[in-house]
Amino acid sequence: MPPPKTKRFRRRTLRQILGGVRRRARRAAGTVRRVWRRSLQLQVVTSTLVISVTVVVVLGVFLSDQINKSVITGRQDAAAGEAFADRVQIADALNQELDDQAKPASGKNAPADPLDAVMETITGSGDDGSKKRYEVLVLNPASPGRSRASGNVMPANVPEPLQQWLHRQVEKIPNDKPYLHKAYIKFTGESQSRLTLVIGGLVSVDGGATYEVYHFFPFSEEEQMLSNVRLAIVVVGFGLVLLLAAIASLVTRQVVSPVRLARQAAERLASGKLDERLRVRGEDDLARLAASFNEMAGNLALKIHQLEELSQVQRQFVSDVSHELRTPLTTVRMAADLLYDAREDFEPMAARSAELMQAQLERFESMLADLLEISRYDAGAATLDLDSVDVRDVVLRAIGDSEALAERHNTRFELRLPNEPCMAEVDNRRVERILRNLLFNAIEHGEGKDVVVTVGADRDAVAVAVRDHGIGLKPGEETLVFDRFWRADPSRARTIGGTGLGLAISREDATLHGGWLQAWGQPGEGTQFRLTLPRDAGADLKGSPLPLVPPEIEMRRTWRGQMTPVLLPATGDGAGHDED
Amino acid sequence: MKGRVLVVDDDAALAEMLGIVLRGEGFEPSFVSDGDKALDAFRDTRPDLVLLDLMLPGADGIDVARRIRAESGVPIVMLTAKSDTIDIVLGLESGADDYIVKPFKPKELVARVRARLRRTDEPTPEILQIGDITIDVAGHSVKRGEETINLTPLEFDLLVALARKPRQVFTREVLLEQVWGYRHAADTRLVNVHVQRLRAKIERDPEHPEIVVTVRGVGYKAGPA
Amino acid sequence: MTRTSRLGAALVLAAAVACGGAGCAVIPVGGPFPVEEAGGGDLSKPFQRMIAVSPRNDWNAQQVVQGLQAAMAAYADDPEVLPEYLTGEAAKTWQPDGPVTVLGNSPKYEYVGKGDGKEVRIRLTGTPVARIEDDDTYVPISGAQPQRIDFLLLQNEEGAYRVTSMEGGSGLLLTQDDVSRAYRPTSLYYLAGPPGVADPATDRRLVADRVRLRVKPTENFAETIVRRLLQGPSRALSGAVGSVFPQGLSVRSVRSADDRVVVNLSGPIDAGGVFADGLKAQLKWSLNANNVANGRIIEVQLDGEPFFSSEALTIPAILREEWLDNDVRPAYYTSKGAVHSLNDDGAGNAVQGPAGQPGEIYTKLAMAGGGDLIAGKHQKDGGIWVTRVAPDGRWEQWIPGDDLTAPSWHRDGTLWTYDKAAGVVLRCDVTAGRGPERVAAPGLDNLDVTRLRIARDGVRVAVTIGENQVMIGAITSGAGATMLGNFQTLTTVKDEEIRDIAWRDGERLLVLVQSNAVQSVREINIGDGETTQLPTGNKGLKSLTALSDRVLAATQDGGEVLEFKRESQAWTSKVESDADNPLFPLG
Repeated sequence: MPPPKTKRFRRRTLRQILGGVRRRARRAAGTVRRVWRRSLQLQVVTSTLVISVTVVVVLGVFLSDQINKSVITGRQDAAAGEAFADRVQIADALNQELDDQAKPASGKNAPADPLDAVMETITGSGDDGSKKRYEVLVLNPASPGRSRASGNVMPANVPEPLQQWLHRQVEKIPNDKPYLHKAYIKFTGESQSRLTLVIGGLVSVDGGATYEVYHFFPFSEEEQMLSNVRLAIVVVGFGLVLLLAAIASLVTRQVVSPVRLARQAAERLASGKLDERLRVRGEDDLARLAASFNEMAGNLALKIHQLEELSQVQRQFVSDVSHELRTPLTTVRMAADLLYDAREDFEPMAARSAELMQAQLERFESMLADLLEISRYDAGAATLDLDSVDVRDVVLRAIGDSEALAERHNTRFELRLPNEPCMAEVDNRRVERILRNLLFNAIEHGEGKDVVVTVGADRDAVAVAVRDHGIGLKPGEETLVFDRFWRADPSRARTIGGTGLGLAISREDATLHGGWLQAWGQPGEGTQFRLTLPRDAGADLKGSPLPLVPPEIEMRRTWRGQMTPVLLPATGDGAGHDED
Repeated sequence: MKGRVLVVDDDAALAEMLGIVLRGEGFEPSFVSDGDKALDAFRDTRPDLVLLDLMLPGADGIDVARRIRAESGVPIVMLTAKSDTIDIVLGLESGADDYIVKPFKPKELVARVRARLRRTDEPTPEILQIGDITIDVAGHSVKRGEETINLTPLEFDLLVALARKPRQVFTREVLLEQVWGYRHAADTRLVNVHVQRLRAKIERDPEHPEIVVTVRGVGYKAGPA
Repeated sequence: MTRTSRLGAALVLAAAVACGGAGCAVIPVGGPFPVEEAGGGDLSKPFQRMIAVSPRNDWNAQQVVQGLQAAMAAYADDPEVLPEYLTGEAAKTWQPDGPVTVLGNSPKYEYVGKGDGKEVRIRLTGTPVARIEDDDTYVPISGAQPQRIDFLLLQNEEGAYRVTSMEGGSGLLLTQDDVSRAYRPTSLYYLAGPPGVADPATDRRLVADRVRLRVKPTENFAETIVRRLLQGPSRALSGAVGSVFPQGLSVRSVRSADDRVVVNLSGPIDAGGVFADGLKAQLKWSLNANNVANGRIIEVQLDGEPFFSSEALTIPAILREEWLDNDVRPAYYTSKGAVHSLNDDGAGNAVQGPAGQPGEIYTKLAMAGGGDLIAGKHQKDGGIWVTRVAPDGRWEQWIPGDDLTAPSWHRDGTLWTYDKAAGVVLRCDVTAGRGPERVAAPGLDNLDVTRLRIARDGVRVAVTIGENQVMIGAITSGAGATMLGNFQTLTTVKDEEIRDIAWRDGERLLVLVQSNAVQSVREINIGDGETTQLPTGNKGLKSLTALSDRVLAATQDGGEVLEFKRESQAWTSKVESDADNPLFPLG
């Protein structure tokens, strides 16, 4: 079936093209939006354009209107005046005709009919007449041979409304107000119609006859002039707008380029280059901005330096204190040990005291160690001692270390290890410490139930999840668990006697590797901690080989149809990247 | 197996306590509290082992260790309040064989001291050959050809441990146990530092070791890779 | 951004602002309508027209006839209205063609017969003034009786009158006002000499042909003139003059373009072989003489392209060459029979040769165009004698005869006269030595020709018939030979006597008329009979002679020569005694 195939192919191509166009358009729009948002110059130029276009349009319309009005009204007034004078002349002549009917024509060449005579005067068609710019039509349809016209004007050229108006006017007082009408009229013998102002008026003779007098004033020149003016206004306005835009562009560029330099300098400053300074040139506002910026940068650098020193001093102090505490602690410890070993020789009270002292000294000691570790992180002094290891071995070693404790809590470990080695470049000691902490934590809160330890790996990362089935975490506690000295339930007694710094240190350890340490928990469902480490230390993590939420919980949730997971953002580090 | 132990510590209480513990274990401790006087005391007392506090008035512990090491291969165990790698590596590189981080238990101290003292006890006549290095175990000497290489006892023990089973890979933990006598997990940095020190002495090109070879992810072995 | 470019931008801004401001400033506002300058307005003069209105049902019969007259006046512009005045049959048969009858103003209307209501007869009584012929010539009718024209009108079903017949049949009936409104006297210029006989390239003279042209609202007057010019001369000059424009040539347009007037022709004309100077002269004078395109360059195009294939044909604003014979020539008079020249301040010296000798033997002297020959009629034998104006000149008889009219020189050097006894026109070529020959003049057969005067253009001929009629003819060529023809009556006088005639130029003829006691000098345009009366002094005049603006006369009582001063409109004495017979060469 080749035809349908072709058809389908074509349709798909079309859809692809459409999709491509849409994509491209969206991309272009995005680019434009981005450019718009980022360029102050563009914004200023655009707003200048918009404002100047508005102003120019308004001004242009006003100006054009004004010129229009003055030219047209001026010409109209002049035309009306001339028309009026002509009508008066006609009226005089025709009335005179009645007065001295019998009087013969005076001049040899003067026509006998006064209408002809006055028309000669008006139209300039007499011997010494000069050409007028307008044409006249005198119409008296009621009497034979009493209608005249000049030039090529025909009665048909009179605009209909004007004639009707005049006819209505006949009943009223004639010679009153003339009626002006503008129309495009095509005169006989001309190829194009011209804009013509027609002024109609009535002349009534005492005898009762009423003459319609129409004056035709050509307005094509005025129209030509006005259209020239309009064109000039448009051209000048357009030029003005472009000019303003160019000026705005120029001015903003003058302002923006130093601001841009300042921004770049600020960005470099922000990225830690405290030596970044702006070049100060001149004494204008921008120069002062640069100077202020430099001052600010200088002060900032000074402050940062001071703070650094202060922090250095403080850390040194914490470190020193920890160290200085150790020597007496060693003495005390040794003494306590001796006493403890010899407690059987003591009285019962003294013996118990020795025991207590021994135990608390141990706790004191580990607390001190953890404090020291934390202070090391705070000082940024922690360094990785990387080695390529099989994470399974590390897990097994950590479990081995925890087994004694597990036995004490009647907790069993359930191990889920992959068969192939999970090699990763990690600091062995730190990872083991993390796992130890997690395991201790799981044992402590696992309420004797099984602790599941899962190891997973993919191309980029390895992950270890430690899951207990204890009381779990309340919503929001997933991040709190990593806080220093945080306790899930202050009223609960510590059984193992952790320092309260273990998870915090673990978190720091994971972060040092460029990895994540995240917690999940639900009341009654237990807790799961997941450690994700990149195979190459410091590489960016994109995801974890293991889910943060235990699979059985996830499955149960899906069955219930609750598609919105109650999953809360686990930690600051991994929240955004968690794809499980 | 009594031994003389020189305790170099400025803290009088700790020194006295150490003395009590050591005497209780049958050692003969002698004390010096000033780093400058430590070397004189060492020469006077000729101890079998030196317990050296890193933080001392006068010349600090590292200087003292270096000076002692310059004269003698006597085992030096450092006492340090600092567990940072840099401090420990510095101490070990200056010549110390082992270190104990404060606070420590008396038993731990005694165990370390014993471990350091024990190894000198049983000499076995044995000649080991590894690469172009000849090791006379009984004579406690190492030679490349005719050239004698001076090694500390610990370094010597490390080299012997590796050389006895050439081509076998030793993890750091195994080495710690065999050479230092630790039962439990301890600081593998000890091994790293000492392997480096050993290489500096016996390898022709320490950057490209041929005698003590690293096996990535596992540990070290003797002989060419 | 450099300092220079900033400066440049500022300058551009300033310039733009300045230009914008200037643009606003130059816009003229208001003001009266300016009269169009001489850009395109001079191709036609303003005119007014009759507008025909449709007949109204409430008009009476007289009004309908008046309306019909108005419709006739407007017929050429608006032919649709006129049939509305006619009944159906009349509209079908009525023809606008034929000569136009021109009646005097204010004709009278009267009802004739009883009129039974259905049918009304209106009689229009008016004096015929002139006729406009098909060839546009205006023929004045002088002294005619009032003419009665009867209109028969019928009332149609609506009660409105319509003209069903008009006495005299077809043709337009206009009044003088109608004619003066719609027609313009127009002079057209043609090349002198009968076509085919004379060579215009050597003669280079123009002859005016006067016609009445109707102003058309759809085209400018210049176009009307050129259109008419191409049609050829009127009957009065047919066969007597030539034209460079061949038959079939038409005008596309005449329009103003910048500084020039463009005449766009179309049709079969051989641009390479045309007599270009003649074309220029014909167009130039035909337009300028009618006050069209004065002082402007005229460009002639052929089908919108330059006239010649290589270049344009332009006629300069001022054509140097004189194509009309209006040269200034000296005036002469006789004193005791001797010819003297007439100076500006009066009497001059006698001319050389026998003509300058006193003696009353030769009368009715005439001088040839070159001023070198004088002809006269011998008192005794009645023949025409000629002498050269030179010391060795001698009177010789050239045309014998008892009853010859006064001799008249033609510009080509021939001498003409009319033998009243034989009733023939005689001509002799003095320079060529050819004796008198008869020239056919069919129009003069059996007429009492008393004077024969050849105009200075060499074409027109004026004759008087008896003492009360002036006829104008032309020297034409008939059957290969020169003849006089195209004679038409110019004027007829009643109760008066024509004493003398004289050509002022090719168009105007002076006629000295004597009634019982009153003398009058009339200047008549031979084209349309337009007559101007020159005042006469208290001294009786005997003879006239004229050259353009100069008019000389001899007094009746003898002894005095007068000149007419145009400025003062009066005759002044030039030579106060013993002076007679003033004369200009030719004419």
